[in-house]
Amino acid sequence: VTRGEIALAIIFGLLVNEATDLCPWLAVRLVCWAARLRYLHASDHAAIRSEELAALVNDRPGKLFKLFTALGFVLHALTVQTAPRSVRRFSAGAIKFTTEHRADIVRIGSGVVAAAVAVAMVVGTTAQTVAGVVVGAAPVVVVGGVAAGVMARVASRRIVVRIIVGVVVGAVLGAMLGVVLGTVAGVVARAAPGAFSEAGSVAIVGAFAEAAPVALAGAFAGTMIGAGLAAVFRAESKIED
Amino acid sequence: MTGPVRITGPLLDVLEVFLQALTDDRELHGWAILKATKRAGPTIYGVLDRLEDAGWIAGQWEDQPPKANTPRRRLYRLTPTGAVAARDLVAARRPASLGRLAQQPRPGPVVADWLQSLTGGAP
Repeated sequence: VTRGEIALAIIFGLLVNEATDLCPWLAVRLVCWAARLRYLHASDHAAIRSEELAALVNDRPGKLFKLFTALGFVLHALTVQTAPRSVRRFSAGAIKFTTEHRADIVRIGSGVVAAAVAVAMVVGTTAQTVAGVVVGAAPVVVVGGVAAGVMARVASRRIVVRIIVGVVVGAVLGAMLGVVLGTVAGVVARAAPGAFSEAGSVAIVGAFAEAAPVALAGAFAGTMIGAGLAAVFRAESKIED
Repeated sequence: MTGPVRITGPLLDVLEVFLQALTDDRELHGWAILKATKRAGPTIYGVLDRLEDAGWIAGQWEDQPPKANTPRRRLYRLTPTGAVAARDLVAARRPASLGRLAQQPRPGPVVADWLQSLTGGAP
């Protein structure tokens, strides 16, 4: 260990210590700002909430936790003030649906995971499948959520429902096709190693191992988005802004 | 029964905590509600906004902060009207949790009127 490294470690330690000591101070500033932003047109209410949230952050143990709590309030205030009405409605509807159907969602999610694991055992490696689900599902959910919000804003209810039904049916058929083709390719590649060239075998098996779970995750995400939108339509009159 | 507030899971959680606090004769501050409900801060404060607007809860600043140079907590308590409405709502929506709360004495009309006269709250 050189002198430079020792000095660097000491300086780095001091910097980390100072940074964590700054967290509570920063958290109080952030919640005050979040309160002013959240209650933009009610300055009296904003003043009350500023002090109240500062006390809440003060009560919360842990310096970094104080900061995370404050960031949660900031994110919420930003969302409330900036997100379009349709996106907020969609989020509220999706949350309501998720709360009401928690058990079903866990059941469906477990089924998707079990199917993905089964496909992985036959076709590829678990690591490939997990990576496929994570990499594939996250963009599907994000893009699907944004698309659903935009659709709800610009299109009529009947058109949106038709599109969702089309997407969900397509995703389910894609998932089934992916599972069948992936299984067949995996079985052929294992039973008859000479059927494909080595590189070709790896490519085919790898492609289907990733495609099938992603398609399954897409079907799941599409179903959830459709259900969320349906919940929005059902609850539209009840949901406050 | 829907009442003047939108009924959600977090709202029912908060009302349960408030009813428990009422029977214990305690007032609640934000962090205590967060800990008891295990819900996110913005969610809880959204519920508190709705309950306060509906007149189900009333808030007041604590007399003296626990330490010098610390911000004051705001303490909340169910109003007499809110107590009756909250008990009815929880009984209707969460009968399972009613078992716990049913062991506590329900504020009857006489008690509610007495509390109301003390606080000067609207019926």
